[in-house]
Amino acid sequence: MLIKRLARTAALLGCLLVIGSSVPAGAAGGAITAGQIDGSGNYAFGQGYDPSTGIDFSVQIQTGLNTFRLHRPEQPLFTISANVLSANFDGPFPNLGFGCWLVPSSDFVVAPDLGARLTFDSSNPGVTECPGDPVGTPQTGAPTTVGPSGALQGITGPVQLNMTWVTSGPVITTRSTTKEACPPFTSIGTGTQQNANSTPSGSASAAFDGSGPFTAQFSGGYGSVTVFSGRTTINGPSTGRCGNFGS
Amino acid sequence: MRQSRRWLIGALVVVSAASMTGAVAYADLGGGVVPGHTVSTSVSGFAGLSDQNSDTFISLSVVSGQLSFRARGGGITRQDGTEVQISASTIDNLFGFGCWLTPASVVTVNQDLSATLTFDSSAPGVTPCPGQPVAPGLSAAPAMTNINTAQGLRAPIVISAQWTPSYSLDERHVVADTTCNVSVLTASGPRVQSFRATDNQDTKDQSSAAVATVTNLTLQGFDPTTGQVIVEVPLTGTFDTTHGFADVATVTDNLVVNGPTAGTCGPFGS
Repeated sequence: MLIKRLARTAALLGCLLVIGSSVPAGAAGGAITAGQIDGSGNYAFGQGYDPSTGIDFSVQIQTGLNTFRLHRPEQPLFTISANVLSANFDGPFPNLGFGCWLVPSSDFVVAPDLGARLTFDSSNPGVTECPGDPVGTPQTGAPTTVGPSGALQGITGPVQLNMTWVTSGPVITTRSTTKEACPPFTSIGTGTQQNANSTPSGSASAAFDGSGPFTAQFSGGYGSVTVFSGRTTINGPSTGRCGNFGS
Repeated sequence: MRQSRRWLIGALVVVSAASMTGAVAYADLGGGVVPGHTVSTSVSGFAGLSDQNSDTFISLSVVSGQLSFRARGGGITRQDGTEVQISASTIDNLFGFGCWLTPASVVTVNQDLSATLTFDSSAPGVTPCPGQPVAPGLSAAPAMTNINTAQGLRAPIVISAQWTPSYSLDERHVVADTTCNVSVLTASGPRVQSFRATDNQDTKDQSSAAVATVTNLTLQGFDPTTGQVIVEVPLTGTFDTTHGFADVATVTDNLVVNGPTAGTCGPFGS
Protein backbone atom coordinates (compact mmCIF):
# COMPACT_ATOMS: atom_id res chain seq x y z
CA MET A 1 0.00 0.00 0.00
CA LEU A 2 2.80 2.38 0.89
CA ILE A 3 4.63 1.63 -2.34
CA LYS A 4 1.52 2.29 -4.38
CA ARG A 5 1.02 5.53 -2.52
CA LEU A 6 4.57 6.67 -3.15
CA ALA A 7 4.39 5.71 -6.80
CA ARG A 8 1.18 7.64 -7.22
CA THR A 9 2.62 10.66 -5.49
CA ALA A 10 5.77 10.55 -7.59
CA ALA A 11 3.73 10.37 -10.77
CA LEU A 12 1.55 13.22 -9.64
CA LEU A 13 4.51 15.39 -8.76
CA GLY A 14 5.98 14.76 -12.19
CA CYS A 15 2.79 16.01 -13.76
CA LEU A 16 2.74 19.04 -11.52
CA LEU A 17 6.19 20.08 -12.51
CA VAL A 18 5.06 20.00 -16.10
CA ILE A 19 1.88 21.99 -15.64
CA GLY A 20 3.38 24.54 -13.27
CA SER A 21 3.07 27.71 -15.31
CA SER A 22 6.39 29.24 -14.29
CA VAL A 23 8.67 27.89 -11.65
CA PRO A 24 10.74 30.85 -10.52
CA ALA A 25 14.41 30.83 -9.71
CA GLY A 26 14.86 29.72 -6.16
CA ALA A 27 11.85 27.41 -6.23
CA ALA A 28 12.90 24.83 -8.77
CA GLY A 29 11.99 21.20 -8.43
CA GLY A 30 9.44 21.81 -5.71
CA ALA A 31 11.96 23.20 -3.25
CA ILE A 32 12.72 26.77 -2.21
CA THR A 33 16.50 26.98 -2.49
CA ALA A 34 19.05 29.77 -2.17
CA GLY A 35 18.31 32.60 -4.55
CA GLN A 36 15.54 35.06 -5.16
CA ILE A 37 11.82 34.35 -5.37
CA ASP A 38 9.40 36.74 -7.00
CA GLY A 39 5.89 35.65 -6.22
CA SER A 40 2.48 37.07 -6.96
CA GLY A 41 -1.03 35.77 -7.03
CA ASN A 42 -4.64 36.06 -5.97
CA TYR A 43 -6.65 34.63 -3.15
CA ALA A 44 -10.41 34.49 -2.61
CA PHE A 45 -12.70 33.08 0.02
CA GLY A 46 -16.45 32.70 -0.20
CA GLN A 47 -19.06 31.09 2.01
CA GLY A 48 -22.76 30.63 1.49
CA TYR A 49 -25.79 28.76 2.80
CA ASP A 50 -28.69 27.30 0.85
CA PRO A 51 -31.70 27.08 3.16
CA SER A 52 -33.64 24.89 0.71
CA THR A 53 -31.08 22.08 0.92
CA GLY A 54 -29.54 22.90 4.28
CA ILE A 55 -26.10 22.90 2.70
CA ASP A 56 -23.42 25.32 3.88
CA PHE A 57 -20.49 25.52 1.55
CA SER A 58 -17.26 27.44 1.33
CA VAL A 59 -14.61 27.87 -1.30
CA GLN A 60 -11.03 29.11 -1.20
CA ILE A 61 -8.72 29.55 -4.15
CA GLN A 62 -5.13 30.73 -4.32
CA THR A 63 -2.94 31.28 -7.36
CA GLY A 64 0.81 31.67 -7.60
CA LEU A 65 3.38 29.75 -5.63
CA ASN A 66 1.78 27.20 -3.34
CA THR A 67 3.48 25.01 -0.78
CA PHE A 68 2.18 21.56 0.13
CA ARG A 69 2.92 19.23 2.98
CA LEU A 70 3.22 15.86 1.32
CA HIS A 71 2.03 12.83 3.19
CA ARG A 72 5.28 10.96 3.20
CA PRO A 73 7.48 10.59 6.26
CA GLU A 74 10.52 12.82 6.46
CA GLN A 75 9.77 14.62 3.21
CA PRO A 76 10.36 18.34 2.76
CA LEU A 77 7.59 20.75 1.94
CA PHE A 78 6.88 21.01 -1.76
CA THR A 79 6.46 24.38 -3.51
CA ILE A 80 5.09 24.79 -7.02
CA SER A 81 3.38 27.37 -9.16
CA ALA A 82 -0.25 26.29 -9.25
CA ASN A 83 -3.84 27.38 -8.75
CA VAL A 84 -5.26 25.63 -5.70
CA LEU A 85 -8.99 25.32 -5.06
CA SER A 86 -10.36 24.06 -1.75
CA ALA A 87 -14.11 23.51 -1.36
CA ASN A 88 -16.24 22.26 1.50
CA PHE A 89 -19.84 21.07 1.61
CA ASP A 90 -21.60 20.70 4.94
CA GLY A 91 -25.11 19.26 4.72
CA PRO A 92 -27.53 17.73 7.19
CA PHE A 93 -25.86 14.93 9.19
CA PRO A 94 -24.11 12.81 8.11
CA ASN A 95 -23.54 14.56 4.78
CA LEU A 96 -20.15 16.18 4.81
CA GLY A 97 -17.50 16.48 2.14
CA PHE A 98 -14.58 18.51 0.98
CA GLY A 99 -11.92 18.51 -1.69
CA CYS A 100 -8.79 20.19 -2.97
CA TRP A 101 -7.79 20.48 -6.61
CA LEU A 102 -5.21 22.11 -8.86
CA VAL A 103 -7.12 24.03 -11.51
CA PRO A 104 -6.36 25.86 -14.78
CA SER A 105 -5.70 29.59 -14.58
CA SER A 106 -8.75 30.30 -16.70
CA ASP A 107 -11.05 29.02 -13.92
CA PHE A 108 -10.45 32.04 -11.69
CA VAL A 109 -10.41 35.68 -12.77
CA VAL A 110 -9.91 38.72 -10.51
CA ALA A 111 -10.92 42.21 -11.63
CA PRO A 112 -9.01 45.40 -10.78
CA ASP A 113 -11.69 46.35 -8.22
CA LEU A 114 -11.15 42.98 -6.45
CA GLY A 115 -14.35 41.47 -7.76
CA ALA A 116 -13.81 37.90 -8.99
CA ARG A 117 -15.34 34.98 -10.87
CA LEU A 118 -14.80 31.23 -10.49
CA THR A 119 -15.92 28.54 -12.93
CA PHE A 120 -14.86 25.05 -11.93
CA ASP A 121 -15.60 21.51 -13.06
CA SER A 122 -13.54 18.77 -11.47
CA SER A 123 -14.01 16.57 -14.52
CA ASN A 124 -12.33 19.02 -16.86
CA PRO A 125 -8.92 18.15 -18.32
CA GLY A 126 -6.17 19.88 -16.42
CA VAL A 127 -7.85 19.47 -13.06
CA THR A 128 -6.05 17.20 -10.59
CA GLU A 129 -6.35 16.49 -6.89
CA CYS A 130 -3.96 18.34 -4.58
CA PRO A 131 -0.71 16.49 -3.84
CA GLY A 132 -0.90 17.27 -0.12
CA ASP A 133 -2.17 19.81 2.37
CA PRO A 134 -1.65 23.40 1.19
CA VAL A 135 0.15 25.25 3.97
CA GLY A 136 0.80 28.68 2.49
CA THR A 137 3.99 30.23 1.15
CA PRO A 138 4.79 33.23 3.31
CA GLN A 139 8.01 33.87 1.39
CA THR A 140 5.91 35.14 -1.51
CA GLY A 141 3.87 37.55 0.55
CA ALA A 142 0.88 35.29 0.16
CA PRO A 143 -1.91 35.03 2.69
CA THR A 144 -1.73 32.06 5.00
CA THR A 145 -3.16 28.76 3.87
CA VAL A 146 -5.65 27.93 1.18
CA GLY A 147 -7.54 25.31 3.06
CA PRO A 148 -7.38 22.87 5.86
CA SER A 149 -6.79 19.76 3.87
CA GLY A 150 -5.52 18.47 0.57
CA ALA A 151 -7.86 15.54 0.81
CA LEU A 152 -10.95 14.67 -1.18
CA GLN A 153 -13.46 13.24 1.24
CA GLY A 154 -17.19 12.54 1.41
CA ILE A 155 -18.10 13.78 -2.06
CA THR A 156 -18.03 12.29 -5.51
CA GLY A 157 -17.62 14.06 -8.80
CA PRO A 158 -18.04 15.83 -10.89
CA VAL A 159 -17.92 18.80 -8.57
CA GLN A 160 -19.05 21.99 -10.27
CA LEU A 161 -18.81 25.51 -8.90
CA ASN A 162 -19.91 28.80 -10.41
CA MET A 163 -19.29 31.79 -8.19
CA THR A 164 -18.91 35.54 -8.37
CA TRP A 165 -17.54 37.96 -5.81
CA VAL A 166 -18.79 41.57 -5.80
CA THR A 167 -16.63 44.00 -3.81
CA SER A 168 -18.48 45.33 -0.79
CA GLY A 169 -15.88 47.08 1.36
CA PRO A 170 -12.85 49.35 1.27
CA VAL A 171 -9.48 48.15 -0.01
CA ILE A 172 -7.06 47.34 2.80
CA THR A 173 -3.37 47.55 1.91
CA THR A 174 -0.58 45.79 3.80
CA ARG A 175 3.13 46.11 3.18
CA SER A 176 5.36 43.74 5.08
CA THR A 177 8.98 42.85 5.60
CA THR A 178 9.85 39.34 6.72
CA LYS A 179 13.10 38.01 8.12
CA GLU A 180 13.35 34.29 8.66
CA ALA A 181 15.99 32.02 10.14
CA CYS A 182 15.58 28.30 9.69
CA PRO A 183 19.12 26.91 9.98
CA PRO A 184 21.06 26.59 7.80
CA PHE A 185 18.87 28.99 5.80
CA THR A 186 18.02 32.65 6.25
CA SER A 187 15.78 34.87 4.20
CA ILE A 188 14.57 38.42 3.92
CA GLY A 189 11.59 39.49 1.89
CA THR A 190 9.05 42.17 1.23
CA GLY A 191 5.41 41.73 0.32
CA THR A 192 2.30 43.71 -0.54
CA GLN A 193 -1.31 42.65 -0.16
CA GLN A 194 -4.54 44.36 -1.14
CA ASN A 195 -7.71 42.89 0.27
CA ALA A 196 -11.39 43.78 0.16
CA ASN A 197 -14.52 42.24 1.53
CA SER A 198 -17.00 41.02 -1.03
CA THR A 199 -20.38 39.43 -1.42
CA PRO A 200 -20.25 36.00 -3.03
CA SER A 201 -23.06 34.31 -4.89
CA GLY A 202 -23.39 31.28 -7.09
CA SER A 203 -24.09 27.58 -7.17
CA ALA A 204 -22.41 24.30 -6.34
CA SER A 205 -23.23 20.78 -7.40
CA ALA A 206 -21.73 17.43 -6.50
CA ALA A 207 -22.88 14.26 -4.72
CA PHE A 208 -22.45 13.24 -1.13
CA ASP A 209 -21.15 9.73 -0.58
CA GLY A 210 -24.17 7.66 0.44
CA SER A 211 -26.95 10.11 -0.32
CA GLY A 212 -26.68 11.15 -3.95
CA PRO A 213 -26.33 14.36 -5.96
CA PHE A 214 -27.20 17.84 -4.83
CA THR A 215 -27.25 21.38 -6.18
CA ALA A 216 -26.99 24.29 -3.77
CA GLN A 217 -27.48 27.93 -4.62
CA PHE A 218 -26.67 30.93 -2.49
CA SER A 219 -26.25 34.66 -2.51
CA GLY A 220 -25.26 37.17 0.11
CA GLY A 221 -22.74 35.15 2.04
CA TYR A 222 -19.37 36.28 3.32
CA GLY A 223 -16.33 36.63 1.09
CA SER A 224 -13.09 38.43 0.45
CA VAL A 225 -10.59 38.78 -2.38
CA THR A 226 -6.86 39.47 -2.04
CA VAL A 227 -4.11 40.19 -4.54
CA PHE A 228 -0.54 39.88 -3.36
CA SER A 229 3.06 40.03 -4.49
CA GLY A 230 6.39 39.55 -2.82
CA ARG A 231 10.13 39.20 -3.31
CA THR A 232 12.32 37.13 -1.03
CA THR A 233 16.05 36.51 -1.06
CA ILE A 234 17.14 33.20 0.47
CA ASN A 235 20.65 32.47 1.66
CA GLY A 236 21.82 28.99 2.45
CA PRO A 237 23.70 25.92 1.26
CA SER A 238 22.84 23.83 -1.75
CA THR A 239 21.99 20.87 0.47
CA GLY A 240 20.01 20.44 3.65
CA ARG A 241 16.54 21.61 4.50
CA CYS A 242 14.49 23.39 7.11
CA GLY A 243 10.79 24.30 6.97
CA ASN A 244 10.00 24.90 3.32
CA PHE A 245 13.63 25.74 2.51
CA GLY A 246 15.99 23.25 0.88
CA SER A 247 15.52 19.87 -0.67
CA MET B 1 -7.41 6.74 -5.84
CA ARG B 2 -9.07 5.41 -2.74
CA GLN B 3 -5.75 4.61 -1.08
CA SER B 4 -4.53 8.09 -1.70
CA ARG B 5 -7.68 9.53 -0.19
CA ARG B 6 -7.44 7.31 2.82
CA TRP B 7 -3.98 8.51 3.55
CA LEU B 8 -4.67 12.13 2.84
CA ILE B 9 -7.65 12.31 5.10
CA GLY B 10 -5.55 11.07 7.91
CA ALA B 11 -3.58 14.24 7.71
CA LEU B 12 -6.48 16.62 7.83
CA VAL B 13 -4.95 19.89 8.87
CA VAL B 14 -7.31 21.77 11.08
CA VAL B 15 -5.47 24.91 12.02
CA SER B 16 -1.88 23.89 11.75
CA ALA B 17 0.83 25.94 13.27
CA ALA B 18 2.33 26.33 9.84
CA SER B 19 -0.82 27.97 8.62
CA MET B 20 -0.53 30.59 11.26
CA THR B 21 2.94 31.74 10.44
CA GLY B 22 2.23 33.48 7.17
CA ALA B 23 2.51 37.13 6.38
CA VAL B 24 0.46 39.34 8.62
CA ALA B 25 -2.54 40.90 6.99
CA TYR B 26 -5.89 42.30 7.90
CA ALA B 27 -9.14 40.94 6.64
CA ASP B 28 -12.48 42.37 7.61
CA LEU B 29 -13.46 40.03 10.36
CA GLY B 30 -16.24 42.32 11.48
CA GLY B 31 -14.31 45.23 12.99
CA GLY B 32 -12.84 45.28 16.43
CA VAL B 33 -9.27 46.38 15.69
CA VAL B 34 -9.33 49.67 17.57
CA PRO B 35 -6.68 52.36 18.05
CA GLY B 36 -4.17 51.58 20.76
CA HIS B 37 -1.23 49.34 21.57
CA THR B 38 -1.65 45.65 22.29
CA VAL B 39 0.74 42.76 22.76
CA SER B 40 -0.65 39.27 22.41
CA THR B 41 0.83 35.80 22.29
CA SER B 42 -0.69 32.60 21.07
CA VAL B 43 0.64 29.08 21.25
CA SER B 44 -0.42 26.18 19.12
CA GLY B 45 0.28 22.55 18.52
CA PHE B 46 -0.66 20.31 15.65
CA ALA B 47 -0.20 16.60 15.09
CA GLY B 48 -1.20 14.36 12.21
CA LEU B 49 -1.11 10.83 13.62
CA SER B 50 -1.80 7.29 12.51
CA ASP B 51 -1.93 3.87 14.10
CA GLN B 52 0.71 1.24 13.46
CA ASN B 53 -1.11 -0.17 10.46
CA SER B 54 -1.69 3.28 8.94
CA ASP B 55 -5.37 2.54 8.53
CA THR B 56 -6.76 4.86 11.19
CA PHE B 57 -5.86 8.52 11.36
CA ILE B 58 -6.26 11.25 13.94
CA SER B 59 -5.29 14.89 13.82
CA LEU B 60 -5.06 17.11 16.87
CA SER B 61 -4.89 20.87 16.99
CA VAL B 62 -4.73 23.02 20.09
CA VAL B 63 -4.58 26.81 20.07
CA SER B 64 -4.33 29.04 23.11
CA GLY B 65 -4.64 32.78 22.62
CA GLN B 66 -7.01 34.90 20.59
CA LEU B 67 -9.61 32.70 18.89
CA SER B 68 -12.03 33.58 16.12
CA PHE B 69 -15.24 31.82 15.16
CA ARG B 70 -17.80 32.29 12.43
CA ALA B 71 -21.37 31.29 13.18
CA ARG B 72 -23.23 29.62 10.32
CA GLY B 73 -24.48 32.44 8.15
CA GLY B 74 -23.26 34.96 10.69
CA GLY B 75 -20.34 37.16 11.51
CA ILE B 76 -17.06 36.68 13.27
CA THR B 77 -16.63 36.66 17.02
CA ARG B 78 -13.29 36.84 18.78
CA GLN B 79 -12.37 35.76 22.25
CA ASP B 80 -9.34 34.78 24.25
CA GLY B 81 -9.22 31.15 25.25
CA THR B 82 -8.05 27.67 24.42
CA GLU B 83 -9.48 25.60 21.61
CA VAL B 84 -9.01 21.91 20.83
CA GLN B 85 -9.90 20.42 17.46
CA ILE B 86 -9.89 16.71 16.75
CA SER B 87 -10.57 14.88 13.51
CA ALA B 88 -10.46 11.17 12.91
CA SER B 89 -10.97 8.86 9.98
CA THR B 90 -10.70 5.22 9.09
CA ILE B 91 -9.21 3.56 6.07
CA ASP B 92 -12.69 3.07 4.62
CA ASN B 93 -13.46 6.79 4.82
CA LEU B 94 -15.52 7.08 7.97
CA PHE B 95 -14.83 10.60 9.21
CA GLY B 96 -15.52 12.75 12.24
CA PHE B 97 -14.57 16.15 13.54
CA GLY B 98 -15.05 18.17 16.71
CA CYS B 99 -14.06 21.53 18.18
CA TRP B 100 -14.22 22.52 21.84
CA LEU B 101 -13.33 25.44 24.09
CA THR B 102 -11.38 24.19 27.07
CA PRO B 103 -9.65 25.43 30.19
CA ALA B 104 -6.10 26.57 29.48
CA SER B 105 -4.78 23.83 31.75
CA VAL B 106 -5.39 21.10 29.15
CA VAL B 107 -2.23 22.11 27.30
CA THR B 108 1.29 22.76 28.54
CA VAL B 109 3.94 24.26 26.26
CA ASN B 110 7.48 24.34 27.58
CA GLN B 111 10.35 26.69 26.79
CA ASP B 112 11.84 24.27 24.25
CA LEU B 113 8.42 23.98 22.56
CA SER B 114 7.81 20.48 23.77
CA ALA B 115 4.14 20.20 24.76
CA THR B 116 1.48 18.00 26.30
CA LEU B 117 -2.28 17.82 25.85
CA THR B 118 -4.76 16.15 28.19
CA PHE B 119 -8.29 16.37 26.85
CA ASP B 120 -11.67 15.03 27.98
CA SER B 121 -14.69 16.46 26.20
CA SER B 122 -16.89 15.66 29.21
CA ALA B 123 -14.70 17.49 31.73
CA PRO B 124 -15.96 20.59 33.54
CA GLY B 125 -15.32 23.76 31.58
CA VAL B 126 -15.25 22.03 28.19
CA THR B 127 -17.89 23.34 25.74
CA PRO B 128 -18.46 23.06 21.99
CA CYS B 129 -16.95 25.86 19.91
CA PRO B 130 -19.44 28.67 19.28
CA GLY B 131 -18.97 28.46 15.51
CA GLN B 132 -16.55 27.45 12.82
CA PRO B 133 -13.04 28.18 14.00
CA VAL B 134 -11.13 30.49 11.68
CA ALA B 135 -7.51 31.53 11.75
CA PRO B 136 -6.56 33.22 15.00
CA GLY B 137 -5.60 36.83 15.13
CA LEU B 138 -5.86 38.98 12.06
CA SER B 139 -4.81 36.62 9.34
CA ALA B 140 -6.17 37.48 5.92
CA ALA B 141 -6.93 33.94 4.90
CA PRO B 142 -9.70 32.41 6.95
CA ALA B 143 -7.67 29.20 7.23
CA MET B 144 -10.75 27.60 8.61
CA THR B 145 -11.72 24.08 9.35
CA ASN B 146 -14.54 24.61 6.84
CA ILE B 147 -16.63 22.01 8.52
CA ASN B 148 -19.15 22.13 11.31
CA THR B 149 -18.23 22.53 14.94
CA ALA B 150 -18.86 18.84 15.53
CA GLN B 151 -19.83 16.01 13.24
CA GLY B 152 -19.31 12.28 13.17
CA LEU B 153 -17.89 11.94 16.68
CA ARG B 154 -19.77 10.52 19.67
CA ALA B 155 -18.88 12.03 23.01
CA PRO B 156 -17.08 11.72 25.27
CA ILE B 157 -13.66 11.95 23.67
CA VAL B 158 -10.68 11.30 25.91
CA ILE B 159 -7.20 11.72 24.49
CA SER B 160 -3.72 12.75 25.59
CA ALA B 161 -0.66 13.65 23.51
CA GLN B 162 2.96 14.66 23.79
CA TRP B 163 5.09 16.68 21.37
CA THR B 164 8.90 16.29 21.32
CA PRO B 165 11.05 18.78 19.33
CA SER B 166 12.87 17.53 16.23
CA TYR B 167 14.72 19.24 13.39
CA SER B 168 15.65 22.92 13.43
CA LEU B 169 13.63 25.74 14.93
CA ASP B 170 12.11 28.08 12.32
CA GLU B 171 12.05 31.70 13.52
CA ARG B 172 10.32 34.47 11.61
CA HIS B 173 10.01 38.20 12.24
CA VAL B 174 7.46 40.16 10.24
CA VAL B 175 6.87 43.89 10.26
CA ALA B 176 3.57 44.68 8.58
CA ASP B 177 2.15 48.12 7.88
CA THR B 178 -1.56 48.15 7.05
CA THR B 179 -3.75 51.03 5.95
CA CYS B 180 -7.46 51.40 5.32
CA ASN B 181 -9.07 54.56 3.96
CA VAL B 182 -12.78 55.15 3.56
CA SER B 183 -14.78 58.19 2.54
CA VAL B 184 -17.44 59.24 5.03
CA LEU B 185 -20.10 61.92 4.81
CA THR B 186 -19.99 64.62 7.46
CA ALA B 187 -21.99 67.79 8.02
CA SER B 188 -19.27 69.70 6.21
CA GLY B 189 -19.08 67.28 3.29
CA PRO B 190 -17.22 64.08 2.41
CA ARG B 191 -14.05 63.31 4.35
CA VAL B 192 -11.49 60.49 4.20
CA GLN B 193 -11.22 58.45 7.37
CA SER B 194 -7.91 56.60 7.75
CA PHE B 195 -6.70 53.79 9.95
CA ARG B 196 -3.13 52.53 10.11
CA ALA B 197 -1.67 49.57 11.94
CA THR B 198 1.91 48.46 12.46
CA ASP B 199 2.40 44.92 13.64
CA ASN B 200 5.68 43.37 14.74
CA GLN B 201 5.08 39.65 14.70
CA ASP B 202 7.53 37.06 15.96
CA THR B 203 6.96 33.39 15.26
CA LYS B 204 8.80 30.34 16.49
CA ASP B 205 7.79 27.12 14.78
CA GLN B 206 9.26 23.85 16.02
CA SER B 207 8.85 20.63 14.03
CA SER B 208 8.10 17.77 16.38
CA ALA B 209 7.49 14.10 16.82
CA ALA B 210 4.20 13.39 18.56
CA VAL B 211 2.47 10.43 20.17
CA ALA B 212 -1.13 10.26 21.37
CA THR B 213 -3.03 7.87 23.59
CA VAL B 214 -6.71 7.62 22.71
CA THR B 215 -8.78 6.36 25.62
CA ASN B 216 -12.21 7.02 24.15
CA LEU B 217 -13.21 8.16 20.68
CA THR B 218 -16.07 6.78 18.55
CA LEU B 219 -16.76 7.62 14.94
CA GLN B 220 -20.32 7.76 13.62
CA GLY B 221 -21.44 7.80 10.01
CA PHE B 222 -22.84 5.91 7.06
CA ASP B 223 -21.66 2.34 6.77
CA PRO B 224 -18.75 2.67 4.31
CA THR B 225 -19.75 -0.57 2.62
CA THR B 226 -23.49 -0.15 2.18
CA GLY B 227 -23.70 3.63 2.42
CA GLN B 228 -27.08 3.21 4.06
CA VAL B 229 -27.12 2.64 7.82
CA ILE B 230 -25.42 4.58 10.57
CA VAL B 231 -22.54 2.74 12.19
CA GLU B 232 -20.31 3.45 15.16
CA VAL B 233 -16.61 2.56 15.19
CA PRO B 234 -14.60 2.94 18.42
CA LEU B 235 -10.99 4.03 18.07
CA THR B 236 -8.62 3.52 20.96
CA GLY B 237 -4.91 2.92 21.35
CA THR B 238 -1.63 4.61 20.54
CA PHE B 239 -1.12 6.86 17.52
CA ASP B 240 2.12 8.54 16.44
CA THR B 241 3.76 10.61 13.71
CA THR B 242 5.89 7.84 12.22
CA HIS B 243 3.93 8.44 9.00
CA GLY B 244 2.71 11.90 9.87
CA PHE B 245 3.97 15.22 11.16
CA ALA B 246 3.64 17.63 14.05
CA ASP B 247 4.74 21.03 15.20
CA VAL B 248 4.43 23.51 18.04
CA ALA B 249 4.50 27.25 17.49
CA THR B 250 4.33 30.52 19.37
CA VAL B 251 3.28 33.77 17.75
CA THR B 252 3.66 37.15 19.45
CA ASP B 253 2.03 40.24 17.97
CA ASN B 254 3.06 43.72 19.03
CA LEU B 255 0.38 45.84 17.42
CA VAL B 256 -0.02 49.62 17.26
CA VAL B 257 -3.19 50.96 15.66
CA ASN B 258 -3.76 54.64 14.86
CA GLY B 259 -7.04 56.12 13.69
CA PRO B 260 -10.21 57.86 14.75
CA THR B 261 -12.06 56.69 17.83
CA ALA B 262 -15.31 56.48 15.92
CA GLY B 263 -16.16 54.91 12.59
CA THR B 264 -15.02 51.75 10.84
CA CYS B 265 -12.89 50.73 7.89
CA GLY B 266 -12.49 47.06 7.09
CA PRO B 267 -11.29 45.34 10.24
CA PHE B 268 -10.70 48.64 12.01
CA GLY B 269 -12.96 50.54 14.35
CA SER B 270 -15.84 49.57 16.53
